[in-house]
Amino acid sequence: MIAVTEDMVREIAQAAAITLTPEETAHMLRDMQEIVQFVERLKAVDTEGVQPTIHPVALVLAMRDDVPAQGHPREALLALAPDAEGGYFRVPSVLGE
Amino acid sequence: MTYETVVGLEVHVELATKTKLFCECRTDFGAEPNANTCPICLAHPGTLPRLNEEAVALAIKAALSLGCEITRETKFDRKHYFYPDLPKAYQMSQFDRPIGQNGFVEIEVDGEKKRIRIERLHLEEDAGKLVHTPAGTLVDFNRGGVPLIEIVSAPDLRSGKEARAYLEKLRAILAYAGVSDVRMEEGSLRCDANVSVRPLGETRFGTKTEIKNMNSLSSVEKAIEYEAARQVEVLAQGGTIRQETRRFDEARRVTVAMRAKETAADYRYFPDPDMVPFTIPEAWIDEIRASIPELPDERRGRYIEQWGLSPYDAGVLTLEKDVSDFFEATVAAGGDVKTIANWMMVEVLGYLNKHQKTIRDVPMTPAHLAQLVRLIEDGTISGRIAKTVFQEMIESGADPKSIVEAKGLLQIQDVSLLEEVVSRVVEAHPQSVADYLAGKERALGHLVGQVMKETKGKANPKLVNDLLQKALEAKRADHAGP
Repeated sequence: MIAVTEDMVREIAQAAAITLTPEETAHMLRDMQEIVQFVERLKAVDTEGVQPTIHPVALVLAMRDDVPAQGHPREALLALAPDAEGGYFRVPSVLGE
Repeated sequence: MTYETVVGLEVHVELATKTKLFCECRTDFGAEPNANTCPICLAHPGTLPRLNEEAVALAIKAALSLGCEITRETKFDRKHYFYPDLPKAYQMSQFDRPIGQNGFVEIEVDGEKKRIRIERLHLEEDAGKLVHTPAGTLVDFNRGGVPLIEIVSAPDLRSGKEARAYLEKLRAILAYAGVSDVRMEEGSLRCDANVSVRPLGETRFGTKTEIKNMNSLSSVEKAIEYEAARQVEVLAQGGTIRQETRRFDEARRVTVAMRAKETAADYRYFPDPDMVPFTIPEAWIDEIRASIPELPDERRGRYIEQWGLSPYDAGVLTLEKDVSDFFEATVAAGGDVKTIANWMMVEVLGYLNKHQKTIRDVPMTPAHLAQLVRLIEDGTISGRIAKTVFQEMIESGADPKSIVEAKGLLQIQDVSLLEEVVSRVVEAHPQSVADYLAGKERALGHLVGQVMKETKGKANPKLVNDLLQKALEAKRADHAGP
């Protein structure tokens, strides 16, 4: 069984771009350990010859025709953003990445 | 030590759909910033993707044109990364079930044929575009959600030249198949290269670097050649290659380190729960396969067999679909195929290359080029005058007949008029005449040149030649006479 460590929690938090307090990290550690234990229990099920499930809902995907729709009012969409200028959305500078 | 260059290319191609991959926004290039956006491609909470059937069809068509196997049961996966050009903070892509797998492209470099394997071809959405300003980063999502295919080659390429040949061929196949307009300058075809070197004979790969920002075919070739030479130099000095992403600096023709890639990025792929997996029916694949038009290799073969062009000429004329289509339309408009091929190769491609233009940028039509060739064939204008007419025709789009009339370039066919000029020239150049009569055949050429000069190049050269010979032989008869 995979042992979840605090380092692992921190790595995952970093990949998800979230900051955790020490209390939150401890909490996450407990949660994630429980998840891993749950998966361990599932592993006991015999899946020999069973196709992997990609999606739990057995639906047939409906596709759409390639026909443009009436455009959305740009100003209304821009107005929903915290900052916009000259038709662009504006975000904090990402130069010097 | 001799090193071998190893290259694999990742090519992104925008598909020629009218709408985006998951929403009904238009895909037009050059629209006002964010004019082609909606709550779906801006990732508003609660919106759901609706897959564009045409995008899937074009991806299948591309895959079949490149000899790929089609994955019958496929799906979309989320690829996660954080950057302002990606509003959902994940890109809808395909991870373990790409639409196409195990294809190939045949290339020919320095007369040697080679098969370059394609590992995978998958469908994904494009990201938005960033504009960096001192007052922050501006984001335009018009491109965000536009359908792309990513085509990943095996590390089968061994030089910048081979990489270029592969890219040219790939571009041609996709253009002929009609799946994309494949314009590198507009970004509808983009290419990244994975480059490494290893001692000749070594079977393991060296550490690779990834090269970005190559905006033309020649940049791809130059960037790879530079990067391979750089790596060999580092190794020769006892250094090691760092796994990193490098940017090609077009102006300085060098690659520059952008960021280290010490650990493989963790994109946390997982199947997109907003979309169910889907099956590509056999009948759909058959239907798409039947719709694939003539591809470049077939067309090249046809030029060789049907029209008797040399393999080299046929290759040059089929490399770009637009050029090849123009050539065919010219032939269809009438005229000798080989003469037209020659005009295409020398004058048309020469002009486009010199002015860095594409055939779409010039106002000349195939009918005009055919007309020009016929004007030469029927003796209305000389081949030399035709070049002057051509320059004007390709620049202004005027038809060659009008240019010839407007500029008074009609070839002089009038025998009596030319006889006058010929006798004038013969009188004015006694030395050349004497030389000719003394058996120096070259003197005739000089006299023909003089007549052409007097007539400003408009005289029919064959006629001039005949008339001059007649006049000179008459002189000989005079000399020999009593």
